[in-house]
Amino acid sequence: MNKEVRLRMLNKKSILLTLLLIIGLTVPYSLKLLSPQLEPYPAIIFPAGPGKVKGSQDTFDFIASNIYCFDLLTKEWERQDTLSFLSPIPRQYFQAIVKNEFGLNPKLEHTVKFRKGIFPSFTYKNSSALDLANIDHAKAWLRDRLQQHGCMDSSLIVRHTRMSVDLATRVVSEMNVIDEKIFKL
Amino acid sequence: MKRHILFMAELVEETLKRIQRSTVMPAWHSSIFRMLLGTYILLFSASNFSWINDVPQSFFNPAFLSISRLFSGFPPAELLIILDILIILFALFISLGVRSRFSSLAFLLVYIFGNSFRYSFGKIDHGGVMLMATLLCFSFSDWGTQNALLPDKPSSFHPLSSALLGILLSFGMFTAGFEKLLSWVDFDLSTNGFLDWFYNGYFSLGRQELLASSVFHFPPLLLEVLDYSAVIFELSPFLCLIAGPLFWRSWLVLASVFHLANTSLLNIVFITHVPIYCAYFLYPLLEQTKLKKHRHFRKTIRFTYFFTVIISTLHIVLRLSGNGVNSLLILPYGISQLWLSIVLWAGVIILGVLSLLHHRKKPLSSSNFQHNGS
Repeated sequence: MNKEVRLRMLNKKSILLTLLLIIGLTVPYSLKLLSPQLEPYPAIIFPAGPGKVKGSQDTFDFIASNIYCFDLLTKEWERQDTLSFLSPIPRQYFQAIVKNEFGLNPKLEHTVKFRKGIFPSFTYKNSSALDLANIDHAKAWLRDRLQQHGCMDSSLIVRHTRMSVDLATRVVSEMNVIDEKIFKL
Repeated sequence: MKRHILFMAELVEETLKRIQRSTVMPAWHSSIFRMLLGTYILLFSASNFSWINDVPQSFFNPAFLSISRLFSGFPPAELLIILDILIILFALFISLGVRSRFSSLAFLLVYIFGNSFRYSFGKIDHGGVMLMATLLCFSFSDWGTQNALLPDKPSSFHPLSSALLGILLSFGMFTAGFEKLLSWVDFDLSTNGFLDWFYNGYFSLGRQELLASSVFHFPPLLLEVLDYSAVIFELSPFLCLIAGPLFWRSWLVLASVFHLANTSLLNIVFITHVPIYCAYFLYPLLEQTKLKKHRHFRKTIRFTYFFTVIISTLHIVLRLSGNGVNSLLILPYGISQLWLSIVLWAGVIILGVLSLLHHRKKPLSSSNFQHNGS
């Protein structure tokens, strides 16, 4: 059969579908590869988690972020259980909410950084954080949570601590506060 | 130029034919899958969006490229309740076979819309990706033409739907494996990727249940093998899909073992893939058991209808009273979810092995590929 006949016999619908499929799959994933902040939703993308650690190390270091509030009973800044403090928000969103400063900072800008600086980074703001009524409501919500946990409701602290775990005993051998932010409510 | 186009086009057609051979699912079998998936969603994965109403609007921080970015905040409570109830109703309709094509697409739209807001705290979850993919692919199939209360008309797209789902699953796995390939395959015994997942989960997220503690006794060589195995496993499904049904189902059995190991060692629950893997084991198993002609088959179908209506009603009552969770109505998160995952994946592995054993006895012929199951 010559090429002309074979070309005419090709299933054009199937070829078009294949092209659409290739575009529909690769464009969103390419965006995620360019910058994790550009990952679109919805898209066919699974979690990758390509990080690695030293296998022969004696200790494992990680950064733990926790909410602290001033306990009215003990008169100390006490660590709170994140899950119950932010309930009903699932725990996995805690880091992102902290990064967003609970939406309390109208000046906060989010940066989209590209891998290896292929393109210049750019920033954007959230429209919800620009509304002062939203910020007041968030403060009231957080104050209510602090009261429920028996704490002073005027402020809370988000503390980032570097924890070193002794891998032989599996207990925390060292804790260092590396950063903390006070939220005045 | 024409020569290249012709070569590419013929290559695509040949590849697609091979994939269709690996993923064959006649209409009758896909209707059983539809019922299974609808019931599974109602039992284990009925999304719940109403809780978003209890969250301050200032927490609204959608991804840069998300549908929810078109909105200025979380939707009002009434809309969230409506989304919850629509999800339950459309899952019920999928299970019962009430205009399944429309119900699947409607479920998909509501699911994407609701999840766009759920993922608007600054983080996108990936647990529901394959559920979306399945509904998208099978919306255009014949899964609603049989064993249905209000059947659909047959579609010419049907033979492609299960093949397309196989391609999407393979691509999803590729996205998980590609970045690992660049980082984990370093031929360096002193670094490890699996341990990064493990340590973070164990110490930072408290994932210390089941067999998690045994990882501390793993020798470095085994840990390195785990890294490379994960990369090979995640990059191989497309090749298995092309290689044939035996390879494809073998990969799915391996994937089920992978999920079982993830649950046991890393305490990561990923149960939305359970019905999807089952779908590919159904064809040989249903052929073998001759379920269609079984005297109790109609009774079982009627019982499933009754069961899903009861479950949906309970879901809706709970949602309207401000309660309700995704899984088994009342099953809390934590250790019970882990055990549920263990039981489900163990069941899928057994089904998979049975389907492989059947394949060895009676390999699928090319005539099976054309079989429409009617």
